[in-house]
Amino acid sequence: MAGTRPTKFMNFDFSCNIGHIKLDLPHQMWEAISADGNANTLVTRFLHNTPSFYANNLLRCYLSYFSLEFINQAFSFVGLILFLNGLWQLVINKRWKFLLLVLVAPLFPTFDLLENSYLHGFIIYGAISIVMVFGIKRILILVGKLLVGKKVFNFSSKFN
Amino acid sequence: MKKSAIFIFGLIILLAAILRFYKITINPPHLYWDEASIAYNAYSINETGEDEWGESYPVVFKAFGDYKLPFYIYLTALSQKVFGVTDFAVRLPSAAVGVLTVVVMFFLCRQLKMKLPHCLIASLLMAISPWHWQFSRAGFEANLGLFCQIAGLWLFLLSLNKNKWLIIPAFLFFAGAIYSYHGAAITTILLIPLLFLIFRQEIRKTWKQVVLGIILFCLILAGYLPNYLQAAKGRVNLTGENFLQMKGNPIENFTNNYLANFSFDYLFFHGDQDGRHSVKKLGELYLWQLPTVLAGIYFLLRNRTKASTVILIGLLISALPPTVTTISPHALRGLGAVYWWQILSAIGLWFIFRKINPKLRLVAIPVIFYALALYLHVYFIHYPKAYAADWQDGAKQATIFLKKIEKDYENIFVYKDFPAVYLMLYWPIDPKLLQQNNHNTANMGKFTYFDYSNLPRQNIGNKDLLLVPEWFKYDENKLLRQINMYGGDSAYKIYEL
Repeated sequence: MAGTRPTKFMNFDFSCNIGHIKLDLPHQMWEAISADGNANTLVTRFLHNTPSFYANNLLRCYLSYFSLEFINQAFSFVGLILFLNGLWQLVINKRWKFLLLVLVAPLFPTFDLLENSYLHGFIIYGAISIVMVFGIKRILILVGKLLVGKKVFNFSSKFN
Repeated sequence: MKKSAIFIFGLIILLAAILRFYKITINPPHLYWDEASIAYNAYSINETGEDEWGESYPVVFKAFGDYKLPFYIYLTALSQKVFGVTDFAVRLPSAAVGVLTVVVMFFLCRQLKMKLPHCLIASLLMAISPWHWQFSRAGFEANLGLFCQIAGLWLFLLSLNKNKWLIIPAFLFFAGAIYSYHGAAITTILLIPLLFLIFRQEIRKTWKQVVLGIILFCLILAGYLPNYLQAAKGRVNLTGENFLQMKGNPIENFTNNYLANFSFDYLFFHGDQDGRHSVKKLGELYLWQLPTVLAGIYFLLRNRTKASTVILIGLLISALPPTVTTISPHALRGLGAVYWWQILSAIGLWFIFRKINPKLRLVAIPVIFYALALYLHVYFIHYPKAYAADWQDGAKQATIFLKKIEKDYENIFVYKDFPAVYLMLYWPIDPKLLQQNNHNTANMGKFTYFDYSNLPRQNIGNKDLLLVPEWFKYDENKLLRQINMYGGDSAYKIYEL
């Protein structure tokens, strides 16, 4: 779980969240505005403003949970392949509820909605695992087809 | 092609040219040492027919011992014939092929059976791509390699669809990519068998021309590999600095290196963390391209054709050059990915446009303009101040100042950290001098290098100069000039000894 893994991969310890963004934002703003020097104030406000910095940082934290590096580190390369395959299955089979579940999961650690970081880990890893199940299912069907030449597993193409 | 499409294409080319040539000698603020080395070797070739080490028209240039590939250096030699030994002359080939890449990108997309709007969008995205223009505005050989690869691919596909004999120039361009940059060599060598595999049925019909092309390709490359290995004497970068030398499990290192090239943080938020390779505060692609890239992947996977296979596998191959080294992601070594990403983004953008309400499409215009304005602002206002040191800013100014006052002085003592290549280029040092004294840069004319173990002493009756870095402590009363970088920070100091 979080904390025991190496942290060279971004956000493996769930540290990229709203709290850290709030702390870091003044520094980021100062750095950008001071680099402008004597540039037009309107230009500075237009390009370096608080909403855009918040949006950028929040999106960066949110997307880090779907980064290939993150999933590879958490679930190994095989897990990553299963995740990508599962994601593809969800999209082409239009399983929007499951997709929504997966897309909502990173909001919990990103906005630090739960006090315990282990719960954040549980939600993120749980959501990714659900996607992987779809990937495993498809691969089992393919392997079965290859071995017997027909469907050996009694799965339908959709979960009932 | 309709007149309106030609007009739009013309505007795209104009935009590409403006973004690549505007203030090209001021931003990036200084020639970095590889550019300086390219410029000096080109100058040496023009003056003596030999490189700085005395080898006649080499296939591999020893330079700093990094064994540079020759194509860009010879192009710079041509550029110097017209524009002299100037900063512009060394950056011109890269900027020019940068614009040509945008042009060829359009024709490549046409050969990949993409629709006209897709192709126009793809070339527009290439024109405004921060990743591509970052490397087009400085003398990076990788940019030439990229152009050759795209041109080779376009001609290869064109030869299958129209004129069989175009396979010959296609292989010439592929060879050009291999002679330009190591990263381009790896991807080109992998791309050729991929093309043969995918288009095997079409190739059967043109096998005579293909065989001729392959023979020509091998003949051109015959001089490359033996020279490279011999010149390097076992110090080949690919084998000398690779993921096998990294700590930990090699398979895990390889996987991590590979996946790093597809990281959201690298692609859309922070880019390459080398100050010469990106502005570091923004991604290699625009953030708004994220949904378009995902939509592009979706579209290609749903509509599997030979072209979609080329695009997707081409993207996967392009991540290999940074993967096999120790630093990954690496925007320069991974530059071969830039056109695949733009093609994906163009397909995805069009796909999204077709799906959404026409009124919503208008939202895209301010978003794209805002992203472009932000990048231009960061690149032209923040970047030259913040990362001037990454471009070794100050070395040219120091050398030019020394040149102005040198008549009154006997010796010039230079601290060991000052790159000799700038003295060689901007003084300039006659290449024959280096060729004759076995490339001894520690003693070139009036210049003598020193370090803390052999501090120069004042010779009675002589007037000498001292060129040292900013942190070096010396008698401030004898300070002649402080050399500042673009942002105003001090880089070097010149004292009278």
